[in-house]
Amino acid sequence: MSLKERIGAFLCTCGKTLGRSLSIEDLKSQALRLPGVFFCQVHDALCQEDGQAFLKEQIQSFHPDGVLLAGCSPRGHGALFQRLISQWGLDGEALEVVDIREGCAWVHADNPDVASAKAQNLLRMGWAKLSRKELSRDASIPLLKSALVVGSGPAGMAAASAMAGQGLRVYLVEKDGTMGGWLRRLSFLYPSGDEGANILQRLKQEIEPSLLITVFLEHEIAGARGYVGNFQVHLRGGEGPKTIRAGAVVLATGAQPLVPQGLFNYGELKGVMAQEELESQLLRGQNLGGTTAFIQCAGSRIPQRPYCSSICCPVALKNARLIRLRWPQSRVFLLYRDMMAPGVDLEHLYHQAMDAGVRFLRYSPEHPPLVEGMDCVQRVKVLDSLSGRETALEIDRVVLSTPLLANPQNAELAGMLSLLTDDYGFFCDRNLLEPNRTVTPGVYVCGTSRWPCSVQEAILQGQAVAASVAALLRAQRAKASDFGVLDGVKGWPAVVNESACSGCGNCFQACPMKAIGLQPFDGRRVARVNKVRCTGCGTCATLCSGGAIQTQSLSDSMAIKMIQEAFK
Amino acid sequence: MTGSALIIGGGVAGIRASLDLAGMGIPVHLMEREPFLGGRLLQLDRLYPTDHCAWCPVWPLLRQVGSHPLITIHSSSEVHSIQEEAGAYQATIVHLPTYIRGERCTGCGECLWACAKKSTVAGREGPLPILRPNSYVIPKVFAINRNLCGECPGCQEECPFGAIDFKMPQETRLLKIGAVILASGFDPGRLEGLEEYSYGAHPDIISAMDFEAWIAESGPNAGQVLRRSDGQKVERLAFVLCAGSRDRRFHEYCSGVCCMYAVKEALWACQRSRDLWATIFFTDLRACGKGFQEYVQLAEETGRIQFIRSRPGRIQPMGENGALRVLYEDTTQRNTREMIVDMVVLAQPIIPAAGSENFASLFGVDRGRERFILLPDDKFLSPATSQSRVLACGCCQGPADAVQSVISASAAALRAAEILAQRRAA
Repeated sequence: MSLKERIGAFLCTCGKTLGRSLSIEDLKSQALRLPGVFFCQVHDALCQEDGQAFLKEQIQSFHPDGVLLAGCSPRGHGALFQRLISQWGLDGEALEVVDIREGCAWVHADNPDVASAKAQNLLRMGWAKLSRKELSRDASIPLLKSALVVGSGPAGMAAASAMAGQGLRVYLVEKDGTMGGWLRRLSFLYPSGDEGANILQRLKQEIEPSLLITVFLEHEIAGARGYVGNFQVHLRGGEGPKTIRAGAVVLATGAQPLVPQGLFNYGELKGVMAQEELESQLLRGQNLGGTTAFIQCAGSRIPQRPYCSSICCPVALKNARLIRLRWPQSRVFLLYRDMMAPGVDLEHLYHQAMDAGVRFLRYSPEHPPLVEGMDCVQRVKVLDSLSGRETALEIDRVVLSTPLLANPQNAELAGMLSLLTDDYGFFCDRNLLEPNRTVTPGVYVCGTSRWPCSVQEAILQGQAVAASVAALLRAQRAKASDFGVLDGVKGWPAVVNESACSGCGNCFQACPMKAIGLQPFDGRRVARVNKVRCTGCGTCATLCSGGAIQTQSLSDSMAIKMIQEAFK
Repeated sequence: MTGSALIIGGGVAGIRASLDLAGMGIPVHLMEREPFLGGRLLQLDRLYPTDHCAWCPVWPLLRQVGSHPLITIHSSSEVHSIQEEAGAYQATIVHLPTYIRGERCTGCGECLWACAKKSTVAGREGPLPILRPNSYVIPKVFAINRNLCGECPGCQEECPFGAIDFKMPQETRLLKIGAVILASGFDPGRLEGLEEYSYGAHPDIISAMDFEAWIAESGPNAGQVLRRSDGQKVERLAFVLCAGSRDRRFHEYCSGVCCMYAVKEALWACQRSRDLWATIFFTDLRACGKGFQEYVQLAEETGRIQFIRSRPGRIQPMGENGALRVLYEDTTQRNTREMIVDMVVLAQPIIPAAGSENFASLFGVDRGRERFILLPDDKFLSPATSQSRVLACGCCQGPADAVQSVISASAAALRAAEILAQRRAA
């Protein structure tokens, strides 16, 4: 439906203040000359209670198809007016707000002629846009009250139990034969000092008795289709393929530490071990007396793997201190580059390790420590960059702090769900203030699948995701337009003119959201847009040579008409 | 209604927690001591490590908070007292008068012009008493700071909507609440105690928060990097990290975010001024979050930002408005040196916000190391304080960046929802 037939115009003077810099009378006569504009009302403050009542009365008596409103910037009260007119029986999209305050009266306060001319231009452009706007037929979609969690480490378990606590049906998929992920292999956790097994037990106790949670052990994700509220996820493994329908998908695929093959004589000398091997020796209660050297940044912060894995310093601090406390005769050296212990608790842990007698040596990447020995490790030579002295430490074991690597399955999952991964394979978040959301509505990421983090942080993230999912799936249904590019701002899906579409597939190939499919139409194949997946980015429209696919917020004809009006 | 939650602090953590709780169908009272929501984030220019504008990601959140039917905003408000009864709280909230009636103000700005005119005529200097929301801030209402206002009726006469009311009373509201989330944030710690750094003795020795505002494109110098003393371009800039943190005399803890914002400010200073060279004096360069090492690399690749592992021993002004001499030991070269710079930026500590003490005692919540709200170890599985119905998120429980703050806020919201559901079930 086009809006060009009956447009009602309103001019707001902001308490007559706009009249000082621009001519309201000229603007009104300009509005009344525009085709389709059948009335124009001036008011002093449409945002106030009496102004809103006036707006309501006018709209309900004259029944315009579209409303052209000139006043303060749409960022001021645009959302308010959109909400109001939709309460009064018009579509929220049938409103165009023209900024004559901030953009005209204010910035050109010293030049009323410019302010008036600009206001008239903007008014004509607003009219041009409104009169060519096609109202979209918004799709209403059901929201399934269920969530699928991939991975049962601390983040996945926390997310699953918290979502079940909010009344959601939860499917927890784990590729191993038992729940827990890396938490199963950890001895004590920082910064609290809790036993890993205890925390795992407590998490399990919330999951196992829950009637709302189904755990699929030894299952993997084979494929995924659908969109927010309505995902269909195919599982493989167990007794055969299954399909789960879920309203949201939570990725908690975890990460695994680098096996330091070839680094610091690992694999060649006995006694050179990775941090996780030390964890299991601590778990088994093995004797760790004698002399231990921890080497930080083994395989990270180097050109081929430039990132810092965040957790290795606190883990080494925790284990170094533990060894010193359990075996008071032991000697422990910690060879580091920068001690990554930000915040209150971790800096305190650093102090505790120092107080326990752990000795710290700072090495520089130009002079990495040398690990020497015959069969067994015997000594580590290190150039302490602070004293400038090279020290040869006679030692019994070397513990390498290696970085966490992203789960190799992330790439495949990213492909299935239209997600992005960073240079190292960790999932990307949507923006800084939505760290656990992804670019695909309804798909969330938490724990070390996003970035290395402690068990405590992983649990927090799992709970944070649960809050988002519970809010998302609370209603029975949602409108497709609720899932736009930015929360709070509507995304306007692209529309296809089937008769102009040649079915070339350019848009289908290019769509970053996988929102376009090719479907039979009148004996040929044409593009079809999934209104939920589409964010209105417009990539398709720029590639369509026939102009058959357009974004509704700014179609070619709207843009061209606006430009024509601007240069009239 | 005891099924609602009270969130104390309208910064990014409080906003996130409010939206999550309201999204789960729970009525929320969001309380902020300032006239506008947004908190510290809106005082920043950029965010590390994406260099994203600090405001843009906040606006959509503010818009949602402002229009959500389940969220009641109490700006310019303080908690006066708390009564506990039958497993719930009754909170008395005091709304301090802003002297401008919210339901009438359209944000036209006439009061501001009137005030500016009168102030100029009267020859008054300094900031105007009228606080102006920019067009994105919630609530979109001007406010008057009575401490600065001379009560000439200038603005009152000019306001086209009769919104200004000097007799506006202090208003008391009684709220029944079932769960509380503390999100009272941080204050920048004082630098005056660090005598060796001469803070306050020279205008070009500046705190990092002030420096960020000073060089912001929307700031007083439109993005130029100038000395505060004489307005000349800064060519040699020094950042001193851990100024008051990791220091037994002041705060033993690490403030967590200074390394990264120093790198950010150095990068932006270099980007805005081609002739600028920066030195960052650090102890450990704690760049351990997602994308942080790459950000540091970006700084190194400019070739104009050098990192020196040192904590300078003294900063000496050379004359009243002269350059600054930094005396330091380069700990990796093991020699003492001096450097002459135009400006020194001190990374001040992050301390619990003024008032967090008050909230802690009102709710009977324990505080831990260095007065941050304590999250006891036995509550490993949730962001709860020593009072089970009071949760904490963001910087009031320890230094946190924006990402960590919103994660803890969402987790706190979830826990609050669970507490309220238990109440309903009981």
